[in-house]
Amino acid sequence: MPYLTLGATSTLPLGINPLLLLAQIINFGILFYVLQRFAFPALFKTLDERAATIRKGVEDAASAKLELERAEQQREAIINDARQKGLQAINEASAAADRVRAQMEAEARVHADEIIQQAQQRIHQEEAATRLALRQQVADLAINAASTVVGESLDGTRQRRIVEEFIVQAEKSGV
Amino acid sequence: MFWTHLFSVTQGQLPLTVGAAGPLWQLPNFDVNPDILFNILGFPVSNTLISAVLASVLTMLIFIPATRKMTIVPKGMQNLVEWVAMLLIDFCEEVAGKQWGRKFFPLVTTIFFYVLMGNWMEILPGVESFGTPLPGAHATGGIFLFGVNSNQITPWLRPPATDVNFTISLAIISVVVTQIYGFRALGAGVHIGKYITFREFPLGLIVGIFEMITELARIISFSFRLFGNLFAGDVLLLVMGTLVPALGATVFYPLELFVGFIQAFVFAALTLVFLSLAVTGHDEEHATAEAHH
Repeated sequence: MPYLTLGATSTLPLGINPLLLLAQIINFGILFYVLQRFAFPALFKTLDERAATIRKGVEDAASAKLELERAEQQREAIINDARQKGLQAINEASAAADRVRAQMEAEARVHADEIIQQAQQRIHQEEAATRLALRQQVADLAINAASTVVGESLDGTRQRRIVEEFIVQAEKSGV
Repeated sequence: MFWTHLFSVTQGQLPLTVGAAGPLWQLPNFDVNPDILFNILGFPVSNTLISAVLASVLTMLIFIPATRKMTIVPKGMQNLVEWVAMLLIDFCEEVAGKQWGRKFFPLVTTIFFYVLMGNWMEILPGVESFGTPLPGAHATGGIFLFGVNSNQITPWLRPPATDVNFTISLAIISVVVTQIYGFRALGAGVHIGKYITFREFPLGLIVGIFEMITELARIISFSFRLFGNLFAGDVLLLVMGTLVPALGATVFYPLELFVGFIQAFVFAALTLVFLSLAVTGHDEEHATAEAHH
């Protein structure tokens, strides 16, 4: 081959050249060193950091889930407690209202009784006064009528007293 | 390769013979030997070595900017690199376990990307088509070489895995690192005991010798598997590109991308498997095998 005369120094078959072999090994060694020094540590660091971040994220999520469940339980407990307290307050308020109502009813009843008694007393008083005035009027009428009948004036304290006793007896007898 | 052929097609020419002038271009020269372009302090610099350096630079350009200012929420190139890295870390941990997976990851990943970049270089424009004309070659089409001169060129770039020096160097690295990990994990006594043992004499000794031969054979199997696949693919692209300019090779580009990926992965995966075996003692292997039964 013509172009093999350009300086091929191979002394072994298949073009194996110890110097070229060494050069290729050095070339690979440089590449490996550069990648091992500058690329792979950064790559591993980033992958590890990401794995740690993801792991932490998953753990945080699990922890947050537990916290949420705990908060949910606490919320339920608080709501139940509030509900019970509310019911208790309603019951107490209801009982207090009943008590107040009963008290007010009793007071009103007493007051009403007083009013009735006062009214009855006033009625009795007015009845007595009316009865007295009526009795006097009836006595006057009776005296006048008797005077007219006998043609003589019935005057004097004795006749009035007789008429009034008559009227009292008539009242007692239910006339 | 690609541009040369594209140029020919746009000129309306076919790779057929034109009158008495002979073929417009000829099949490129195929040789397993790398082309030495120049020497630095006595060190030969081949086109495959330059390609290998380029593959290293490409790998660095993928990893270093992507890992420079990494954020917890990845974006852009970091996203891609992390995605691939996670796949490889998972793979390493699955094969070697949690303890060793992360320790093997840097080597396995470096091998994978280095070989992958080298393999995929095969389809880059300019690779194996840009170069220095050989003495006596005449540029008949401006900067292009046609006819009998068309293959008289020393390419500046050639896929690194088409050179056994590249594949053997990687195989040596793989096997040597495997042995180092074996010594570190098991201790010198146990590790050497895998190869030289007087237990169950003489069968144990014979098996140990076979183990030793297997270790050395790995260099050959590692290197020639990669070399064979990539060299064959390279020849395929060159031949098809010559027979049917532009389109002939293009059809095979996806195939070569796939082969390049698979071979890179196989190399890295086998390295990982052998590393895992190296840090596992014989007794553990037997225990694991019995547990499986």
